[in-house]
Amino acid sequence: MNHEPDILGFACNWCGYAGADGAGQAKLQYPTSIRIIRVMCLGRVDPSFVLSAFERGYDGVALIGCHIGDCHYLSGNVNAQTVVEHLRGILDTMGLGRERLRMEEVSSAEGPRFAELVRTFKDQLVAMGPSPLKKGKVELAEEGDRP
Amino acid sequence: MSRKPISASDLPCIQCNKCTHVCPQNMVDPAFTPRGYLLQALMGEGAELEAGPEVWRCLTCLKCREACPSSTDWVGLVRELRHNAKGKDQCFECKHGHLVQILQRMMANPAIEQKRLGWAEGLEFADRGEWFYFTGCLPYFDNMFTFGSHTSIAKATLKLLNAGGVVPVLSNQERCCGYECLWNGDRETFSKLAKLNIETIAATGAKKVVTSCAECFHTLKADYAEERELPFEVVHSVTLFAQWAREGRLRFRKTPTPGVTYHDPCRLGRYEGIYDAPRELLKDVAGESFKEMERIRGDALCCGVGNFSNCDSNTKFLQHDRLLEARRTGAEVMVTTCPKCRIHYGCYLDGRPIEPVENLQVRDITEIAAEALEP
Amino acid sequence: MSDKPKNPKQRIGIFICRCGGNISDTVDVEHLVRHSPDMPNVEFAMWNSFTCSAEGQARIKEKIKEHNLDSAIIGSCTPRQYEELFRGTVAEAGINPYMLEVVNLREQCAYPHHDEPAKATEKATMLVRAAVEKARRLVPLQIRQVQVSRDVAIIGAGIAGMHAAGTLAKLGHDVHLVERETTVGGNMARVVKTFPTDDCAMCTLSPKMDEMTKNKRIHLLTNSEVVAVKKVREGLKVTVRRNPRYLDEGTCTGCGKCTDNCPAGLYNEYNLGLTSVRKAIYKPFPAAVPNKYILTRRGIPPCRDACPVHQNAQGYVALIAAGKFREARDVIRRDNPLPSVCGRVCNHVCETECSRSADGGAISIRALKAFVMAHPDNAEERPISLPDPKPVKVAIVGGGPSGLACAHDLALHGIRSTVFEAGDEPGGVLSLSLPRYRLPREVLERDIAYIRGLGVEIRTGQPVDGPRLRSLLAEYDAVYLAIGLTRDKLLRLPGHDAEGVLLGGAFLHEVRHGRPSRMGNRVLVIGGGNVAFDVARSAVRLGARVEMMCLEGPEDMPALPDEVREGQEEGIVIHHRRSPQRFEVGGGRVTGVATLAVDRIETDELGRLLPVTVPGSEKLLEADTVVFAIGQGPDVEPLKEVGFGLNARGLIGVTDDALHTGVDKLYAGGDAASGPTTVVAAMGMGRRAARSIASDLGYPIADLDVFGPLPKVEAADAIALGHKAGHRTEPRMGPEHTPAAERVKDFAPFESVLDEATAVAEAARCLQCGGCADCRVCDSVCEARALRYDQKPELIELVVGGVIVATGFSEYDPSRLNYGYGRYPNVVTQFQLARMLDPIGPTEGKVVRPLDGKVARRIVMVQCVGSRGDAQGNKDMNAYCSRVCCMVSLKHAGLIKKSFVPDAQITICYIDIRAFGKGYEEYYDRVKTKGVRFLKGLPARVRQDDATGDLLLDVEDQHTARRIELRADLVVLATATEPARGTEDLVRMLTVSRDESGFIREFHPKIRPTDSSVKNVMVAGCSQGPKDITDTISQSGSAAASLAAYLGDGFITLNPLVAHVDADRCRACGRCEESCEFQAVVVGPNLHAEVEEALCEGCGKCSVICPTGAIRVFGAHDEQIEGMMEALRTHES
Repeated sequence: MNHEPDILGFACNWCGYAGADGAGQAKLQYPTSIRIIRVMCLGRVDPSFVLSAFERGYDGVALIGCHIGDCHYLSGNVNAQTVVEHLRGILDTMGLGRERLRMEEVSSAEGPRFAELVRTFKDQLVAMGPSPLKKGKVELAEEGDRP
Repeated sequence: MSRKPISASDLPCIQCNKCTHVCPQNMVDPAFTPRGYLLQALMGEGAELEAGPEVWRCLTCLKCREACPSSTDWVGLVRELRHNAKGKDQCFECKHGHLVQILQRMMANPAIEQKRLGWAEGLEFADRGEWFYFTGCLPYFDNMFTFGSHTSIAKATLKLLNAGGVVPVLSNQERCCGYECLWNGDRETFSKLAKLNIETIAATGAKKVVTSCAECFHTLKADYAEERELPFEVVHSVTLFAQWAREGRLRFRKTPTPGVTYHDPCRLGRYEGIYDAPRELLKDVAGESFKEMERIRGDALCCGVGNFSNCDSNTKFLQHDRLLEARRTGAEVMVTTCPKCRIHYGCYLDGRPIEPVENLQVRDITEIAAEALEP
Repeated sequence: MSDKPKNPKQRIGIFICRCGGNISDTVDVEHLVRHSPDMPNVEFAMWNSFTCSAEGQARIKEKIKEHNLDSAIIGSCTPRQYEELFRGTVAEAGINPYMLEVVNLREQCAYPHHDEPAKATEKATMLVRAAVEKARRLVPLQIRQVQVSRDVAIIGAGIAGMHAAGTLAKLGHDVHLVERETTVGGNMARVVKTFPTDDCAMCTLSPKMDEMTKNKRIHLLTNSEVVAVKKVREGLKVTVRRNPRYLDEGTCTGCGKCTDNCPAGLYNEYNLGLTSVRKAIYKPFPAAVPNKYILTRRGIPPCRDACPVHQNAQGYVALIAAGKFREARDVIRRDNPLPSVCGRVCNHVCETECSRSADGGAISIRALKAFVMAHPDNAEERPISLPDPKPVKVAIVGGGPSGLACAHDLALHGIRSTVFEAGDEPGGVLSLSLPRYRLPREVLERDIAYIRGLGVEIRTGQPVDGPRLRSLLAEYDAVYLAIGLTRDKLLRLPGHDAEGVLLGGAFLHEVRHGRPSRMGNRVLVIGGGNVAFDVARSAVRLGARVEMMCLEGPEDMPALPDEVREGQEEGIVIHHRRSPQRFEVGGGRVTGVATLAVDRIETDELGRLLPVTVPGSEKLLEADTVVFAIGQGPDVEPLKEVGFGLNARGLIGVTDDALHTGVDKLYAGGDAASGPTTVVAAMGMGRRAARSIASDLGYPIADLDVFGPLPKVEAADAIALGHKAGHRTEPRMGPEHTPAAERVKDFAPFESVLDEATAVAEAARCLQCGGCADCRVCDSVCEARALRYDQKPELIELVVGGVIVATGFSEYDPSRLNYGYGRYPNVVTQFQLARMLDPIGPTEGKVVRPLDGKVARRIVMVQCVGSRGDAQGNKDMNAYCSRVCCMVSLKHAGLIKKSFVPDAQITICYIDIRAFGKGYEEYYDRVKTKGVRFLKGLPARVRQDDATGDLLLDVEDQHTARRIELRADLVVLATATEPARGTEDLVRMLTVSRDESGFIREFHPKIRPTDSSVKNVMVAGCSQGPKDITDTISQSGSAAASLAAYLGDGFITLNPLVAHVDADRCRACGRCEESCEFQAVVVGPNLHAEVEEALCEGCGKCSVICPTGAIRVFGAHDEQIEGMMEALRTHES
């Protein structure tokens, strides 16, 4: 069964989110799997958000922010890196696999990079199969076609 | 504690106010009064109580019951009320963005295949056997709190078990005990975890379960037992090691300095009445340099945080008070038998203190015991 | 964590934009509108064609009112485009602008998914539902304004800073202009002419410079540095350290008399050396603003630092070099009570420490002092005016250096004293023991006379015993005990009482009156100190055959090296490492000393020497006279009864640095308290005693604290700067000595006094280590009395709304490249060439070879020195292009051909010529027509033909691929533009970010080139990157305008989406405060964190680090985000 992964993206207002806009303006096509929540800075992404996302059944989470050194708030993305490192440790212990959590540097000018990362991340998650915590569709699909 | 809903009629409270008098939360916030809340309950206003924040602010440290002449189960009521409140989506905010609770809800999912034994590499353990070492949340804590290592406790425990000639079972299938969920009113998750853990342990054929955590210990021993009859006995590592030391099964070289003192965790002390074992073990390990604090055993002060909920400035004052008390004994290490107590005190020492508490460490008894182990 | 919405009665309206098909061609807008009402709290939904159009907004407002909505969701283009606009729209309809959520249906749904409309619609529905979930958890926010300071600080007063300052002042802002240098003008004040018009730089610059002092709104702080910046509600608190000018800016009239009279010549920074020298008190250039002078003080010169009386050697040496011998004497007298004596017998540690020691030899400081004191100009000194006498009197026991120094200093401050000297003439050891050949009587008498002239009474033949001392203590207000060392030590060896065994001290006393009666013809002196040499050399002069013996070896004997050398010249034989055992006696008279070789010398706890002798190494030294000169002790026996303590060495014990003895009113010093030292050290103690006594008596002596916190100057730095100021490594010139054969005939002094020419030449060698020589001549010539030698740095705090950084640039240092810069004088930089072209510059507008001052006709200019390093494959260079160097070289080449050296052959070696600006290309063409040779290719290295001083370069012409040899009088390097030194620290203080080259990073390279990463800090000029004057001016104008626009009328509307604290949940752990980059969060006194909204940027780091959830950010509350997450995942439907 070829499942449709759910990807949650946290994108910072200044780089990641602007990059996503750029991809759209350039009409670059990428999967609908990604759903973006705009934060002012990746420094705002609380570890509990990410874990909560997985608990809710997301197959992957991506933090998309400025290149290191370009943070609008000087060090927000550096903090996010540390958070992500710890989260990956937890995901490994939990058996979900660190690969389900990505942190990407996408500047406001890098629309293509954004589109590309969504595509590759999706393919990777499809290959990995649904998260064991997946709710909704997957179980549904097993029960048969949706109305 | 019985599972049948506690109702006002079950409460033999005589409104003597002893509970409020000994309550640590009341120590720092005079407005917090168990007696008052009990009165509300007695007058059938349990519902209002349920809706308010008070039930979430109780530290469930059980000091009140120590003092209560009519053994009124206020804490039991609190747990009940929290459970009801949760059903109505009225949960008071849990700390660290309810990280711990999320983790436990994730683990409550049977589909999860953990890889939680990374810490045990190079140490001796089995996947079947009489003994089961229940590590609880320790493998997760190292990635949740920026200060200190926590698997060090697990390593120390395993080292001591091995030294005592026991090669315990460790299981990737183990889940956190569910203590935090239970005490935050999420009995649903708790029951799932209990079920999974009991099955996991049973499947390994283990008859004795060792925990190095006061809360795991009480939760397995008392609360799991409420879920179903346990096919195994539960023992806290400190009881075991104290006994082994007595039997000469473990030998320690006394390391008299620096001075140590002991903090009784609620779950091991007031809930399970284990006061002597840790002290015996400490005397074996630290000898003369072991000093008692003023408030000990049943009278011990709570670390100020229950089930990773209710942590605030009051908590900070309680922690400060306790750490100064420890320092006054001249000790440079305050030893405890509950990793959570250690985390909460560690948090205080890691952050900005009310006034500096110079050279004091908070450590787990298994760590210093393992260090003192004779080769 | 409650996911519970705030208000169940909430009424949300949803407005979906078709965006003229951009959205609706992909997303099924009708479907969205149809299903939205199913969502919780949604009262109403509709679509618009163009929501951003006036008409679209009007409909939204209308519907909000009609349906009495309290929250709105607009599904349209990215919120980054119209969120602000829509907040206004809903506000006009009466909804709090922060009860709005914008859904990005275009850029992040319709556009990127138009290939799969069904899925796009599905996602759009999720996005809208998420917005609803967030809206259900939104709270109305108040829009607050804060008042910030409208003052601004501009750091750097080069052309960028000045232009911005002028602009902002005109816009009504008070401008604090902070400049590190002593004048405004920056680098432009150096460039002489400006391209492309060849205008006179100073002519265009000086009106701007004058404006900086004339405009009442501009508050100029020159010679000042920013030392700290703190963010505060009003903006920024900038702490400025105003370094001392050592004169009062208000009082200085800029007349320049000080400079004309200043004797100290230093490196001329403004002219970048080129052997031009400027004075220690100076003004960089005539048009400097403010028109005030400044004293350069680098630190304490090593000579002065080393001297026990802190004699200002640099001061009088400088004055000698300037031929000002009277002033030199005054400077000497300021710290030295016995200058003539010191000129002869001082052990001159000043010379030991002199920076010149490592550069040709120490200055002959002592001899120069002797020269000054002996100079005819100083033959008679008019008595200086003394302060009114104080009603106290002091007795001084002992008329030696220490006592006299004490009396001298007391007298200068109006405290009368009487000196009681036991000997028959004043001077103590100076007159009694020092042989005349070392200290001629008249020299000593000169100093004594001067001290008497100050009203000091000196009574000779006045031995003081216990009773007498007690009566002195009763009679006088204080008594200074400086009795020196007068008791000779002697070893009680077998036969010591034989005829002919003498004591050094007594011997020297007798020598004053001729040959000591009991002295024979073969003298053996026991001891290796200076006294031993005085004895020995006196004996030589009395015709005896003299030998010496001492425990020490040549390397460690205590006497001064000069003494030893001169003694040996005079034929004295020294037996080293011998220890006397017994005296050989014949006929009652000594015939020799039996000695043993010394293996090593041990010392006991009291520091006494315990020689360890070699058994069986006995050796007899024959002599008919043996003189002990093995040290002396104080003669305290008769005084002991007064009750002062003695220390273990038998010296008078003093209880503290103030030389108290423990006996009331009694002070002690000199050798009697310190043990054997030197004349000048004893004087030092005497001066200390004077200060101690004066302050105890209630008339403290305040010495002018000239150096304050300044450190001792390091020799290496002094030498480097000295050479930049044109000093060369020249040999020391000292006084001449009478040949040994001659001088042993009598007791006449054998050291000549320097002649004037030599003295002046030798003095001119001084590197002026301290900068200012502290001679204070400027004070004497300043009619306005502006000088303040003890001025200290002052800290000034400015509270400003914003800052403009205009710190400009520094030149790349080419000495690290193999172009010979710093090695060959004829290699200079374009900036130095510019100074040459200045009619008032170092060469008065002549283009010369610095080596020999000959006119330079063959000139080679080298481009990209330190720039475009990658193009040259050189890691020591910057990667970037410095942009202006090409034009600078073109300008100078053109100018030289036009008006300076028309027949000059100029070659410009380049990679590319970049004439980028308006009118620049034409300028380039004009220069080409002037016959300047352009050679594409850079020299590998520059060598010097030492014979001619010509410079040789090999260049490969990339057009012809031929190697070309060039011979040049002058090689001019077009050095790179680098961020000014110190930019790093400033950037850190302001928390703005820098680019990889160290320049300040602009917020956006294209559209916000003058904003920094901090909202109230702008950047102008070369601190942002290399640029020419034209660009600098326009950029600094832009910076000024941006800052003015930001400050507006002083009221700043705050972004409400900032952090806020729930005090009850806060445990004051301080983690938020540590994590905040903007100093917006502080843990307040009442033990919970507080947010300064004016500073908070709303990034949210604090809320992640907070363990208790007490600090949260509006618009990004946990429950809002959790709510969206839940809505954005796939649900079984």
